[in-house]
Amino acid sequence: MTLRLDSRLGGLLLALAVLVLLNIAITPNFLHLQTLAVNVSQVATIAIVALGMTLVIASGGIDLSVGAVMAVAGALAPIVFLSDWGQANPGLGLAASIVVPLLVAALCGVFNGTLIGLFGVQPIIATLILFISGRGIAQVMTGGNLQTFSNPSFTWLGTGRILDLPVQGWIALALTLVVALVVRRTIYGRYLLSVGGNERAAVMSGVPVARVKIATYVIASTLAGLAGLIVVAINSSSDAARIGQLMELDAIAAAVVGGAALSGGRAPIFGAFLGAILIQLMGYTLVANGVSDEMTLIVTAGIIVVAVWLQRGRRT
Amino acid sequence: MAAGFRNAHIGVWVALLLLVVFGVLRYDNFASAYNFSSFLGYNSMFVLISVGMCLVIMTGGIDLSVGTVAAMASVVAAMFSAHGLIVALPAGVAAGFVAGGVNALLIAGLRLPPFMATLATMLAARGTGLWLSGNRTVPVDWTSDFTKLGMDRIGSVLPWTIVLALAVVVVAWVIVERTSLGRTILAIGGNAEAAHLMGLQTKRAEVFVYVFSGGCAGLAGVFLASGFGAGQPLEGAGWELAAIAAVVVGGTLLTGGMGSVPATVAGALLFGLVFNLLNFENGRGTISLSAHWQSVIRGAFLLIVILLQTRLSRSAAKT
Repeated sequence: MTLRLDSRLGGLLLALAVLVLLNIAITPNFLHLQTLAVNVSQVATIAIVALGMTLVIASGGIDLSVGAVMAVAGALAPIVFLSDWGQANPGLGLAASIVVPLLVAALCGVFNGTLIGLFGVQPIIATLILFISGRGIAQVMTGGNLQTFSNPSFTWLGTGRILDLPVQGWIALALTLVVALVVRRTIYGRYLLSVGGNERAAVMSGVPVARVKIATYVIASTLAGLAGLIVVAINSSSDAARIGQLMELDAIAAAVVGGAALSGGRAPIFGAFLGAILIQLMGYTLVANGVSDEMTLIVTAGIIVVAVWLQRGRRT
Repeated sequence: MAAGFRNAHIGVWVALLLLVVFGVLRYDNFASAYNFSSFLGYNSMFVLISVGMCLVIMTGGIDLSVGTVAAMASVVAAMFSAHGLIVALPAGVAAGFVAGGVNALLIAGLRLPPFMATLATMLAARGTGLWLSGNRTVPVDWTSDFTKLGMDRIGSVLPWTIVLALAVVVVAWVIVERTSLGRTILAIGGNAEAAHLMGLQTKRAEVFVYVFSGGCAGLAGVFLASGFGAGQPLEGAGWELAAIAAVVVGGTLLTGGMGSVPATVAGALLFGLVFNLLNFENGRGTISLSAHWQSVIRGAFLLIVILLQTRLSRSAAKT
């Protein structure tokens, strides 16, 4: 696999390099391992969700439900390992508390994908359903209560360190490589780009469009579920009202800053990864230098506009 | 095929009527003046943003910024509330117009995709609202006449806000059904390129719908501040999606080119009514559904509507 550095990826790397240099110059204690760890730990979940969002956008769709799916998965995990069965079988309980939420998240993806792929419902509307009711389902499951717990093996997912860096950062990196490989090297990847590029042509040439779409939403939801587990692990508690809130916006922003076009047909996976990092680092730069949160929002809006505007000229 | 969509429009009115009849028969206080008045007062905000959203969606666009623009406008209106309604109301609406103008500039001027452009404005309006308010709720001046708009009732029943909202609805309806601007709006949604080639002023129509939607959101923000006695920079989360849902429930397709303003109003009221009925059901004490169930049921309701519409439009396409 040759890693082609197209000009957009180059531009992102350049922007990142400028930001890093700027921070070295003006931000106190920027070159500390702790700074890196904090940023990695904050950006990992956004990057993971942005990978799935990039696939969905590549198919010509959008997924508004990722934050709600995070809440469902995140609410479910403690329920599983805090149950009587989970406490009696800590090993199995731990495994189930990861597998079951991921399966349920995948089911949410089946729901989205079926509405979109089989019933032809527009993605923004189809995923709006789980956006509205998903968090409610999570809150019903927990009775709306904050679940706190102490389970070191589970919380390792969010607080552990490998080579002094947060586990979830490594997970995000590994998933980026895997998803990029899937897009470039598998038939699914080729189908995905053809569905997003020209759906009618894809149908005519025998691409199983509905199945490709369902698979895409399943991947996006499963990744969102994983991100939900990580958030719960970081906090050692699960609050269904808050997990993954506004994540859909962060993930869409990261994917688009990374070069995804809402019209579909492109899946810049590394771009999404770098896009998430760029937005995170920009936010960190502003906050670490005493710029208020509200200004950070306005600057993020500006970045999105610039990124989309730059991309506009590339449409052929 | 037009008949199929007309049926969809009638469907939402029939559903609204059935739910009202159900409510009147089942719950003692449902038909009370108090419930009528508070229901319309609260939902006037959603009627407004839904109508703005309806015009935007007719052009094939989307406006994700309405919720945070309303929140920002509520802050602006509250800041000017000491000068009375005559100043605070235009100030809040103007804030909405400005945000809508930014959307129009990005979409009609720079040709950015509406989804991304209004996503950016959504964040920027939240930031601006928080900045203006100093990150706090802004209390209104209770000595001026500002809160009368949101709290007074005509004949102690009919909220002023719903009257104003319905006036805006009528304006939007007349524009869509009776003017060349309205025909252009629908033509853009049907086929933007063809509309442009036909010499229609597509850019002007696009600018209009986003500025109009911003103004509706601004007025909704004024209602918010006036009705609840505070400018609330953090309100409005998810309002854009409630508005989109109302438009869809009203039978307007997201691809644009067709749609109905009155059916959107019915969609907004229908969505609010689901909440209202659930509150009454809880009040009877036979079942007790927590607040969390409300969003679950709203989502299920949206699912049913979408599946029905899919069937309707498919059978319409077949004939």
